[in-house]
Parts: sequence; C-alpha cells; structure tokens
Amino acid sequence: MSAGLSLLLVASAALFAVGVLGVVTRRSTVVMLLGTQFMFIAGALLFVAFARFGLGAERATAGASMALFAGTVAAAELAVGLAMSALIYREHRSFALDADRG
Amino acid sequence: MTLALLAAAPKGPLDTWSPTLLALFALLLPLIALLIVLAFTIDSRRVSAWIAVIFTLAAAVCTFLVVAIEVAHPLHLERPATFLQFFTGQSGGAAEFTLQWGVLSDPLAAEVSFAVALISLLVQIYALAFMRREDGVVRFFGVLLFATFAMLGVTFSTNYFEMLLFFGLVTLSTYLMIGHWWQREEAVAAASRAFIISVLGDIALLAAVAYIYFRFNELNFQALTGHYTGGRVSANGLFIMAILVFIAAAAKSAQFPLHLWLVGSAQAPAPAAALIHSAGSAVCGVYLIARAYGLFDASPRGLALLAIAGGLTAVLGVLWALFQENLKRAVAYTTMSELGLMVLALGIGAYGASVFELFTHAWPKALLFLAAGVIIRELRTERLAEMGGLWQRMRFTGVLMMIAVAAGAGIPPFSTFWSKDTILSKALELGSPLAIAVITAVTFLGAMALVRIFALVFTGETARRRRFEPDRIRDAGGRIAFTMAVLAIASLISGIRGFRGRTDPIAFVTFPGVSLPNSHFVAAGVIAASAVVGAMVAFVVYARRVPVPAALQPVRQAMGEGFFIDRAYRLAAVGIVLPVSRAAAWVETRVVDGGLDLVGDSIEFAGQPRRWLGEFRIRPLLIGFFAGVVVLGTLAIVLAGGIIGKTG
Amino acid sequence: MPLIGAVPQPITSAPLVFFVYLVLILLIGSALASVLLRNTLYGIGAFAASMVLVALLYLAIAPFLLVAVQLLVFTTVSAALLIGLLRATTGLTASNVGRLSPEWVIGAAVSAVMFALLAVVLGATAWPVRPCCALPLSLGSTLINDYPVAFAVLALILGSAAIGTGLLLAAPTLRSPRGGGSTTARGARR
Repeated sequence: MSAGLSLLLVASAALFAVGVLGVVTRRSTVVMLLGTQFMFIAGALLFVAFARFGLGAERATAGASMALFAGTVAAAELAVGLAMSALIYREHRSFALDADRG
Repeated sequence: MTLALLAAAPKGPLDTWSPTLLALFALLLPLIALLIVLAFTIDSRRVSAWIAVIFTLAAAVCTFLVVAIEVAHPLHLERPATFLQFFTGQSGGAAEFTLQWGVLSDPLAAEVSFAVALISLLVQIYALAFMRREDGVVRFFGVLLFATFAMLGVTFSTNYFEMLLFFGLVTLSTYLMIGHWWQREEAVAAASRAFIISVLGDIALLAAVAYIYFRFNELNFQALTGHYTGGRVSANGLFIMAILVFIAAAAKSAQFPLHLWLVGSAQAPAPAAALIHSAGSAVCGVYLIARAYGLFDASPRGLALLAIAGGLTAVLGVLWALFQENLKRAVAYTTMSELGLMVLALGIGAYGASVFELFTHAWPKALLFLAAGVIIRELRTERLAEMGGLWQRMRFTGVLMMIAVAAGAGIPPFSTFWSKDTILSKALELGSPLAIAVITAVTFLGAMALVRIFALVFTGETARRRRFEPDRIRDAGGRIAFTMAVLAIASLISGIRGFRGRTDPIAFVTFPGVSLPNSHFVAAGVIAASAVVGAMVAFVVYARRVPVPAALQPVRQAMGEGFFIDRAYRLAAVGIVLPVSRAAAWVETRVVDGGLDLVGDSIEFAGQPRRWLGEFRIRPLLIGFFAGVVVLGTLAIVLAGGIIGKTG
Repeated sequence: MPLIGAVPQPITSAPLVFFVYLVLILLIGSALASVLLRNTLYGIGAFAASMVLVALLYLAIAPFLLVAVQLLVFTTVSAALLIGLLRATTGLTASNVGRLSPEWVIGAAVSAVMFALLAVVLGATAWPVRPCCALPLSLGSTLINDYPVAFAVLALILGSAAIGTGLLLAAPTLRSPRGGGSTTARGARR
C-alpha cells in the first residue's frame, strides 16, 4: 500500500467538496467563510501534492511557495469577510446571509 | 627563517581585529541610538541628548580603531562584510549578479569616516549647551544621529546601489537639519531648495546605477576596479557614466551650477551647519568621486570635466564670499570654494591630496561655524556690518577663530596648507598653467575672504545698535569652549605629515595608477606666500573698514547675490516649469481623476439596490453556481476526452 | 522523514503511509464537522483542528517552513479572528439554529456530485512526471529569488486587507443590545 499522488488529489477534492457544502448549505456567513477557507486549503494542498509527487521533488519549494501565498491570501480574505460579517451582525443582530428578509 | 616568522606573526590587537566589523559597529551605533531615543526617551531632552552623545562617542572610537588598523595594514584589503544579500545569483535571470549590502573598510573609508564621526561627536557636545533652551531639542539630536548614520553609510558603502540608498538618506537629513527652525520662512525655503537639488543628484545617481549595471553587469566597487579600462565600454559610454556620477556629486557638494543650496544651509542651527559643511552632505559628493575614481581615471574627458567644474566653483565661491553681508553665508561660500578645490584636485589627479584636503578642511570649517554660532548668539545679529570690536570682549573665541581662519586659509603650519601644497605640486608636475593659476588665485582670495570675516567681526568697534548693550557680551565657556578648543587643536595638528613610512596621510589613501606628487618646495612656498599675502591684504583693507567706492557698488551687489544665478533659476522655474505644471495639473484633474471618478461612479451605480436583484435569494443562487460549475466541468471533460480519443 | 531530493516516489514506508491516511481521514472528518455543526464555537474548534491536521500533513510532504507557517500563522490567526468576532457579537452563547430545508438537500447533492467529478478526474489520470532543472532547496531563497513580484503583490494584498478591515470595523454603528462588548477599537491612543 502506498500513499501517492492520487490519494492526495482525492483528499484535496474531498476537502474542496466539503468547502462547497459549507458555502452552499449554511446560512451563517461565518460558516460560509470557513467553507471558503477549506476551498483555499484544498487548492494549496494540490500545489504541495504536485510539488512533492508530480513534477519532481526538487520543485518542492515552488509548490510550497504557492501554498504559502494561497494561504496568506485566504487569511486576508477571511479578515475582510469577518469584518463584513460583523457589520451584518450589527445591523440585523444575526449572522444569517438573508437576515434582512427576516 | 625565525626572523621572517617573527615578522609575520601578529603583533597585537591591531593585527587581528577586523576593521569591517568595527566599521559595522560604527555604522549601526548612531542608528541604534536613534531608535532608542525614538522608542524610549523621546520625552526627556537631557537623556536623549546624552544617549546621542554616548553612542556617537562609541562610534567615533570605532572609527578611530578602524583608522589605526588600516594604518597598521596599508595593503590589507578585506572582503567587505555583508549584512544583507539579494539575488545571490543562483537562479532566474540574475544569473551572475549578487547585490550585497554591507560595509567596506579601506584607507579612504577609514579617513573620512573618522572625520565624520569625530565632528559629529563634537557638534553634539556643542549642541548640548547651545540648544539647551530651544524647542525641538530631541528632534535636533535625532536628526543629527540620523545624519551621522547616513554619512557613515555613504563612507562605508560597498556598491553603487547602497551608495544611492545612503545618498537619499543624506538628502533627507540635510533637509531636516536646514529646516530645523521651521517657523522661519527662509529656513523652510532653503530646506526645500536643498532637498530639490540633492534629489536631482540622487536621480542622476540612479541613472548612473542603471547604466553601469546595464553595461558592466556589476555594481560592487571592489569588483569593478579592473573593469573600467577593459574596453568593454566605449569612451563615450564611460564619459556618460562619469557625467551622471559627477551630477550626483555636484548636487551634494555644491559644484557649479548646483551650488545654490549651500548658501541656504546657513539657515540651519550652527551645530547642524557645521556638520553639513565639514562632514555632511558637502563631503558626500567628493567622496563619491573618490570612490568611483576608477571610472574617472578611465575617461580623460571625465577628469577634464571635474577639473573645469571644480575650478569654476572654487573661483566663483571665493569671489562671492568676499562680498557677503551675512556671517554664516560668507563662511558657506568659502566652503563652496574649498569643495571646488577638492574636485579640481581630483580632476588633475591629486587623489591622496584631495582626500587629505577633505580631512584637513573639515576641522577649521566646523570650528568656524561653531564660533559663528556663539558670536551670532551673543551679538544677536547675523550681519557683518553690525559686528566688530569683539577682540576685547570675546578673547577666547577670537583666538580660536584666528586659528580656524589661518587653518582654512592655508597658512603654514596649519592644516590645509599641507594638502593645498600637494595639490599645487601636482599641478606643477602636470605643467598646466591654468590649474596653477587657479589654485594660487583661490588660495589668495580664500585667505582674503576668511581674514575679511575675522577682521570685520573682531577688529574695530562694536557697531551701535538700538536696544543692544555691548557690555553684555560674554565669551564662550564650558562645553562650547571645550569643543571649539578640540577643533582648534585638530586644525593645528591634522596637517602634520610624516614624510616617510606608513604614517603619511597623503600616501595613506592611494589610487593605483595615480602617482604621488613630490612635495615641491616651490609649491609650498607659493601656497604659503599667497595665503599670507592674501591675509595681510585683507586685514589691512577690512580692519580699516575702507569703504567701497560708489562706482563699484553694482559689482558688489552682483557678487553679493551670487551673480543673480538664484534669481535666474527662479525665473526659469516660473517661466518654464509653471506652464508645464499647469498642463500636467489639467491632465491630472480631467483625465486621471476623471477616469477614477468614472470608475467609482460606475461602481456606485452598479451597487445601488435594484428591485429585481432583491428578489433573488442567495442560497439557491450559490447552489446554482456550483451546479453550473459541475455541469460545465463534465461537458468539458467529455469533450476533451472525445477529442483526445479522436486524435490519440 | 520527508523524501526531499529523491526521485518523486510515492511514500511507501508503512508507518508514514498509515500516518498520511489517518491524517487525511481526520482532516475530512473535522472539516465536515466544522461545516455541519450547529454551534459555531464548536465549528471553529473543528476548523482549528483541521488546520492543525493540514500542518501535520505538510510535515510529511512539504518543507518544514510551510508546516511552521501553516501551524503558527494560519491556524492561530484564523481561530483568533473567528473567536474574536464571536465574542464581540454574540457573547459566545449558542448561535442561532438554521432550519433544515430543501436547500440543504440540493446543496449537499451538488457538492457530492462535485466531489465525484473531481475525484474521478484527478484520481484516475496518470500524471506525467517531468523532472526539471535544479533549484535551490530552501524556501526562503526561492521566495526572494524567484517570486519577488509575488511577494510584493502579497504584501499589497495583506496591507489592503488590514486597512479595509480596520475601516469597516471602525465605521460608527449602534452598540449591540445583546451584550458581548463593543466592536469598535478598544482603548485610547497612547
């Protein structure tokens, strides 16, 4: 039994699907943002997996660089998204995405 | 065999300590002091000032040690110590290029950095007493520390790019120093003018950096040493590089026609003005030329440019100095002439002598400014016509100023005599009558200008003015007197040359391929004679307050205003720059701002709630989005598989 | 443990394979938990756990710097942001309960189909292996030498995010009557 590229790709796809699930099925903006975070992490994981298994181990740093950048952008987006959630909460006292409709 | 081994064995700390490490300390200590002051002691004037002084003292000690080590090992060229490294040349397009920021320690850097650090220290001790009752003391000491850091950075730079960075810092520090008393309009105008001219120089240096990198693929001073003469770059290319470097140096060292800011620097407080003129921005330009001398040596037209510009600056400076009404401005113009002399010396090939002139000139010039500060404060005026008769009242300052004037004029055995004499002997070797005449004339007139200042201030009688009591003039004392005395001693002894061995300051700093001139007795005699005669003429003329005949009044006014070059620049600015800037402003408000407004307004328009949008619900929208992605993805894969199947 | 520098082989040492499988299963599980849990605070806890598991996964297959950054920065920053938000707005009580609705079902179906699609495509393809030119091994030097533009752009993005977040939060609003503290900047400027 071996852990190779395919396993990590499937795992990444699963993580992405979990993220999609979170974005689509929940009403709370906080949880939707968590879903987007998972989607970012899935992408970064893809980069790292290809760096490690796909194109040659010498390229590990390139994949890791992309993972670093993707993760940092994800954190920045999380910050802005949470700020907007805070504003929504202030207006409507609820995190729900359609809070303005009752 | 044993003897050889003994001779080669290290003899003590000077043989084993690393000069670059000490140089690194000297560079970083003022910066650390500045950060400490800004972070912790910004509310306490006394503590901040003492921290500045102590750290600068440590930096001065470090530079002194560097000089000592360099004297002990004149041929020992260490690798520069780097503290930051970019583009290490292992990948990508910058295949063989390494950009290193660090410190470089060689005799040139050692000599100049020692002068910088020591003068900065003395100026700060002076300022402890001088600025005691002012506002903005902490800001002043912070700016002095910053200026010291910038200047030491310039002297220790390892490559053109680092030099550019520190040049920018020197520009900023000069602006801050000149504009320290920002409540005065003239100070603000002078500071802005200095900043603009210095930035012009920095832009020229940036262009030089780009061009040098483009042609040589290398920016490190040490790595470039052999490359200039290799024939890789044509003579025209070298001349362009030399012009760009010269513009950068001219802006910093007030060469004609970028000399306007030096006079305005008299608006700075006396300690700051002393620093700028003797060991600050004025020194940077000459240092840059000395550092990049390989470039000039390879381009004869570049050397000619240096000589012509330097000579012109020297002559103009000293002529204008003779007609100034303001004490500090008069001293500033003599600085301009001395800087011109240094550049001229570099142009005719007197490399060691020029650097030595930089070193010896610093002490009397600093002393002149510090004494001027004391005098102006006691007399409460800056105009020479309102001074006089201070010899009886301020004897100590008078003696020190006499030493400074003698040292600046080149009267033997004071400091600048030794360097000017070597410059003239190089000119005699070259046999160029123009250079000889210029140097002699500049020495003569320079002595006249300085002694004129001395005579107008100290001889005669104190001019009567309203609301001013001459009896309340007190002489300098305490720390002020101490620092001025130290500078006077330096002016006395800094010229002494050991004519043999390793302690000759002029042989200390050499450039390969540039020969040392023999010190002709003729040259020495000519310099001594012209300096002494000039001094005596000036003393006779000005001590008696011989009035200027009315016919010469317009000449006097023209000289006093610097041939109205300043006004010419201003008219050119108004006439040429203003219409251009109006056009640019139109473009900016209509085109650029209009474009941005268009973008913003359209976003606002798009962002306004629409009823039909409000009827959507978000979650089904998101579901639809991802479902669409799935559908499109399936379609794409099926199609791609179909195409691959057909071709594969 | 990481096989950096060798030809790209799948991991074959049994303990490491077991480790990777375990981490992946736990990762998917905690991600699902984070997304499906009703109580948002527990969801954040599961999110932090999944970030830690990602870091553990990177330990096996990526340079150590990435592990460290993932662990220290993303996990803590994200968790801190989320907890801070919750604390400021609802006082860490149980969050509002979302109703189960038809959209749940459809949404779950869509994400399941997406997963199937991606898994089939990614898992079933034989990826070409093209070893290429040698590059420096250290992440830091790669970042500075190869991607300085990306670095600069990243710095800009982070700066804008920071400024934007600050501006959004500093906008004057009403205090929340449910308690839990103010969401505006705390403390006077010193």
